[in-house]
Amino acid sequence: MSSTRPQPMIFAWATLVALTIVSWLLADHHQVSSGAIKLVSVIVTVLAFVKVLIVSQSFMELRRAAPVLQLVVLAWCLIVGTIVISFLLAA
Amino acid sequence: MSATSFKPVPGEAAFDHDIEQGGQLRGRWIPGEVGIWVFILTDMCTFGFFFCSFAFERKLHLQTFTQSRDRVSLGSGLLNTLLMLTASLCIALAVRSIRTAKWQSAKTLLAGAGLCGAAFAIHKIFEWQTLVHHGFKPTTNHYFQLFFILTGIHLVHVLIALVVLAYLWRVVSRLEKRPAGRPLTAYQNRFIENAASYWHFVDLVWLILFALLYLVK
Repeated sequence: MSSTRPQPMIFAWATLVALTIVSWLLADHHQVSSGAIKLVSVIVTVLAFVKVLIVSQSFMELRRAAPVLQLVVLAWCLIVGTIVISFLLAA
Repeated sequence: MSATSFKPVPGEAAFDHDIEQGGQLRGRWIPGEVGIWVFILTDMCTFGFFFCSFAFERKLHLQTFTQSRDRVSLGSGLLNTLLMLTASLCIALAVRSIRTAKWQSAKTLLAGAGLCGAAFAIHKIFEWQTLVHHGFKPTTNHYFQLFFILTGIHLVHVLIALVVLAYLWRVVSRLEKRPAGRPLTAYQNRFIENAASYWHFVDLVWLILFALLYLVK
């Protein structure tokens, strides 16, 4: 059922680490305008939900799981992500 | 509970790849059991509510949240995230090793995941201690109240995951002593997948917490 090769998991981990460092660099940069700050906040939030999908698809093996389970996790990301980002933009 | 107390369920395939080869459950397979996913999805809904509440509170108290967020260490958040991601990788690889009966490799990877998890927990306690030392307590303002509550709830999940991980390591140690070539039972396979799924869930919750508590300005 699982891939017998470790490479896809290591690739997923490397992608997660790269996205984490990109988010950290974006957040650590000192923006001056409120528009740029909002944009960075939205980008790091979107990247966080993308990382959640990578973890669920790769490490949790949802890629090969029942489609309904994949849909539930995707729906959670979309619903929670949309609400959070809406509040960030409204602030 | 010893490994020998696992009972194979009559009529169930011992390996999931048997299920795939047999085609009985193709398209309906889930990692672990339905029960663990009911728990994980319920917990995800609870954390989803917490994340939305945090964003809402931030909207109401933007200045407080912006100033307070500058007081937490981005480096600490980054280190915590890298530890959680590395632990998740170790567990995913350990599950793969268990399925291919590479017991020593599985034990090493589980120990690596445990070390990362323990380092996360210890670092989190030091981070709290540093914040409190500088006068930032749960009673300071809305941001720090949510910071301590959310990271505290998550830390409890990490500690539970570490206990599960230690038990999984013990199970693998017992499996290692079995006669070579004896397949895992469906029950054993599900337990291993349950434990791994729970750990990955704890990891993905942290990914959102890291973004909201440390990165969002």
